Order: sequence, then C-alpha cells, then structure tokens
Amino acid sequence: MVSSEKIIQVIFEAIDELNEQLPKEERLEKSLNKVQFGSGGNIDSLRLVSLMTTLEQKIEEQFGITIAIFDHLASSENDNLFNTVASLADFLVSTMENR
Amino acid sequence: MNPERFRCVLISDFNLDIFSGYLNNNEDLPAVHTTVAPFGQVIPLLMQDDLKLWQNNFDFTVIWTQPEAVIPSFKNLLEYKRPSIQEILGEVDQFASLALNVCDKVKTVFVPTWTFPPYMSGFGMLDMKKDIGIANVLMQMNLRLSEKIDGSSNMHLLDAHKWISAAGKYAYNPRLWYRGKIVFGNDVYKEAVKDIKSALAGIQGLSKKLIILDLDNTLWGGVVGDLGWENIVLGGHDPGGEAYVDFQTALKSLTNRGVLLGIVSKNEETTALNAINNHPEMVLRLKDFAGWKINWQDKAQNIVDLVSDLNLGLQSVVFIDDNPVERARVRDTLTEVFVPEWPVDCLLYRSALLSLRCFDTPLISSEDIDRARMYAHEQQRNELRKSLSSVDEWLTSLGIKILIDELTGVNLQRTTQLLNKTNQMNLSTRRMTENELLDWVKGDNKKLWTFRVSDRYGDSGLTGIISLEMKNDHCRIVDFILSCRVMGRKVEETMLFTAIRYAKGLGLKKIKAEFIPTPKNKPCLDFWEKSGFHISENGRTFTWELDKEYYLPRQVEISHA
Repeated sequence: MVSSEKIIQVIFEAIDELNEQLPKEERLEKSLNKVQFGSGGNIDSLRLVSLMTTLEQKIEEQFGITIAIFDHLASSENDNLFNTVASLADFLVSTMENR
Repeated sequence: MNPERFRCVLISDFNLDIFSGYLNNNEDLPAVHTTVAPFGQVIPLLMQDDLKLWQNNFDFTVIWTQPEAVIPSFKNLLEYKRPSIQEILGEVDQFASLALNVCDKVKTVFVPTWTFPPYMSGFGMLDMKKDIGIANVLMQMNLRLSEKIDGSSNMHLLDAHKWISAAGKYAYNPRLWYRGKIVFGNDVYKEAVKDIKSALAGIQGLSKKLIILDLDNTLWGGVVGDLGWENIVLGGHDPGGEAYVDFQTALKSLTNRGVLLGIVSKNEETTALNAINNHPEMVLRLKDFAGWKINWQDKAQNIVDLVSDLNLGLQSVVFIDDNPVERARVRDTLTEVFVPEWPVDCLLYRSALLSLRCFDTPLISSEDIDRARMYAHEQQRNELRKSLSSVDEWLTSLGIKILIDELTGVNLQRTTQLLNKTNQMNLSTRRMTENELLDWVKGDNKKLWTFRVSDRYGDSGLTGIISLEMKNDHCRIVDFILSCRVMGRKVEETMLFTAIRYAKGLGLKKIKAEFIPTPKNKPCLDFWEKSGFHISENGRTFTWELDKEYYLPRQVEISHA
C-alpha cells in the first residue's frame, strides 16, 4: 500500500522542479490545500504539462507504476478533480491501490 | 558583451518555452532574458535579414533543431529510404550557411549538435555503417556542421549528446512531444543551461584561472604532519592511492588549458614541501604551482594573500578542500571565490574536477597554454627582485623587450580575448566580439596597437592593448589594457609613449583618457593617478598636452612588427 505522505513528497519534488522554470513571484507553493491546478489554478497549460509529466516520471521511477495523470486532468469532467496537492495525492493513492 | 542581463532569442523547430524558463530563472550568473521565436519557423527566420526580430540586437541566440526538421534527406533516412550522403551533407552545408548568416545579427550564436532519441534502434548492427547507418550519418552531419562554422569566431557548436547522456532515460519523452511539442525532458534543458551559462561567463572573461588546493586528504590521503611524507596515501596498488594520483594528473592536465594551480594548506611548510618534492608518486611538483601559502593562518586570508601575489582577482579562483568547515569559511568570507561542494570519497575527486564547467573559454590561445610556465618565470623574476637593491635595478636586469604591432588577422583572436577578459588594468572595460573590434578599428580616425612583452626569463605573449580615437585637435585613449602578468614593468609607460608619439606626429594638441570605474579596475586608476597626466577635478579624466615630451622608459627596448 502506497502512503499518502510518500505521494505528497513526490508531488512536492515535482513542484520544486517546476519552480526552477518560474520567476520567484510565480512559483507554486508546497501547500496541501491551496488551489493551484485545474481551472482555479494560475499556471499555464504548458507548465501544467511539464509538472504532470514530471510527476508521471517520478511515480514511474519510484513506484514502477505508469499513470497518465495529465490525460485525467485534461478531461473536462475531471477539471476540478485534483486542483490541490491533497486532492491530487488522494487521486494518485486511490488509482495506485486499484492497480 | 558585458550586460547585466544577456538578451537572447531562442530559435527552434520545437517548443523551447520550458528551456526558456530554466534559462531565465537559473540563478547562476550571468543572468539571461530570453525571447522565444515562434517554433517551427527556423529556416524562414534564418533566411530573412530584414525581420523585426533581428533589430533587437540580441547578445546571443540558440538555434536548436531536430535534424529531421531541417535536413529533409535525413528525415528520409529515418524512414529507411536511401538518400545519398552527398545529398544529406549538401543540405547540412545549406543549413550552416543560413546559421552563419545570423552571426552578423547577434553577438554570439550557440548551436546544439543534432541528436536522435536513444530509443530509436535505427539499422541495428548497421547503424554505424558508413553513409548508411543513422548514427554514422548523424555523426558526419555534426562534423560537417562543425567544419562549416569553423571560421566563425562567434558561433559555437555545443555538444548536446552530453546533455542527453546526463539526462538518461527521460532525455526524450514522447509524452512531452504529444502534449506540448516539447522534445526533451527537463534534465536535458538543465544541462544545456549549465553549458550556455558557463560559455557566457567565458565570453565575458569570467572563467576561472586559478585552482587553490588544500593538501592533506585533498592532494593525497592522510595528514602528512602525522604520517610523514613516506606514509601518505598516494599511488601504489591501492584504490585511494590511485585515485589521488589520477586527481593530480587531471589537475596537471588543466594547466595545459591555461589554468594555474596554487596551494593553501594548514601545515608546516617544510613538511608539506618535502612531500611535494620527495614523494615518488607525486604528479604535481613545486614547479607546477604558481604559488603557495602553507602555514597555520586562516585559509581565507591566505587565499587573499596568494591571489594578490599572483596579481589575480578573487573572482578567478576555485578553492578545493576536503574539509567542509574550511569550504564554508571560504565561501562565507570570500563570496567571489567559487567553492564547489566536494565528494567525501576520494575515488570521486577526479570526476568532480572534470565536471566543473567554470574553466570554459571561447578559445584557448598560446598564452593560455603557456600561462603556468609564465608564472614559473614570474617566480624567478621575484627571486631576482629580492636579490637586487632597487626596483629600477631589477627592471634593468630583466632586459624587457616589447614588440609593437597593429591589429592583424594573426593577432585578432588573442587581442579580442585580452580585451574581453582583462579586468584590473582596463581603462574602459569594453567587451567586443572579433568582428566588432575589427569594424571599430577600420572606422575613421581609429588606431590600435598591441604589445608583446618578453624578457630574459621568457615571452609573456601579447599582453597589452592601447587604442585611440582622433577628433579635431585631440585624441582620446579608448582602450588601455594590460595583463596583470606584466603590470609594473614599464609596459604601461611604453604604451603611453607609443600613443603620444603617434598623436604628436599627427600634429594634435592633447591626448585624453577617461577612466570608467568598475568593481575591479582600481589598479588602472592607481596607475593613471601616478602617470604624470593632468587629473581633472572629478579624478576621472587624464590629459597630456602634446607639446610636452613623454619619454620611453629606459629599461625597455621596443621594436615594431
């Protein structure tokens, strides 16, 4: 069973990597509940591609599981399914447990 | 080329926004501000001279392409068709000629080499077959590109294969391509940023020139004061001993690139020097070091003193020490000194050294190659100085000879290098490319001389530049540049003598120099304040009335090329 804490750690690592591409004032916070992705977030679609693809790579590397997170996010019915780190972590944990 | 923030345009057939983000927000100096040209427009952008984009006077551009996007025959090869190698290389020539066209529009052009994804198996065992295999043809394409741009001083081919190798499995990620037309994974862009930043620093004259080394557990294993030089870990059939020898060999190799070595170590000097002189497996001997401070004083202070002895600036220095406390002390005290984190395991010392990018320069001149030898000569001069009673007697005994020449095709490269890397004895700190300098000299009423200095100990090479701009009845000294290696040997006065004699010959009335201060050129101001020129009220403008004689220093013998 994958722990939520471990997944959150991986998401934060992906955020760190994205933040290297951003000016200080636009960097994402490593906050659990702030709305940062999806329609309420303030990163553009290209940064979202970069963030989610990095996260997919890290999950593949660390857990050996392939999840097309970006494709879930891009689907309109899932627009607000994971717009915070906490909700994204919940989604990942449940997806990984269902594998 | 010395702006606060380098302005850059990125040109590519794929989306470089992520790369642009890394380049703009990487905190290492120099800072960069990018403009990303619309992707997929490489050829039209390179072909059209009159585009508004080119009016922005960018400091540099990166032209990063996938080979199949700009070389149509290579795309055919990827589809297992059989284009001829002549056809492919002909297209490479066309691309090179378009890229070279950009050299007139921006100061520096970087072109990453062409790569293709490691997951492509290509022709398998035939992939390196001459003129047929994809890998073989791609190598030929990159070599051809390298040959075609060889004559250009401001276009540099960057080895993207290193970036791909460093990035590993995710160097190419097809998901990024389909989602955002992004070819490479983040790690490739990060490696590219490191190379480009280090290239920019080199072009700015900010590359490192001196490695200052600790001794115990850095150049050899163990504490020589405790073990005695016979028992330090160095060489022999021992992984650590071999690693220290290899580390020393790598350091010695860097001297062939013009990097100097120095020692700052807490030790008894005699004990440490005994080890260096006597241990049979020492690769580095005393003659390989430009200077040393071996005592029990604070290392930061010793670094300051050593750098001052060598007439270098702290910004030129890399400090390598196995002790994290000493590293932190130097890093905190001397912020200009580069102190790399250093591996705990001595088996990793050599690879840590070889991975440093801070020594990169846009060219390696014969002066660079000889720098270590020149500093050894400098030590001999200083020994002589100690033995003589006056500076004057010392200068006379040196037998200084100065060869004066104008800017020529032969010395253009070295002159531009000196112009761009000299900080201390530099009146105006202009930074220019070879083409910019040539254009300037060709302009109306301009004159430039170079000075090559030698003495009984050896040739210090082309180490001085003075340039003039004539206007009405006076002239202005635009550049007054002298390598720190020959400062204080009457070369400064010889440069002024040359300029004044020329200006007199033109019948001019006065010659002026305006000092433009930088954080590093105080030694230049010190010289001018003692030059005998009239000093303006603000202390920045220096004037010589040309009806007064200015004499050639008697210790110097000049000749003209």
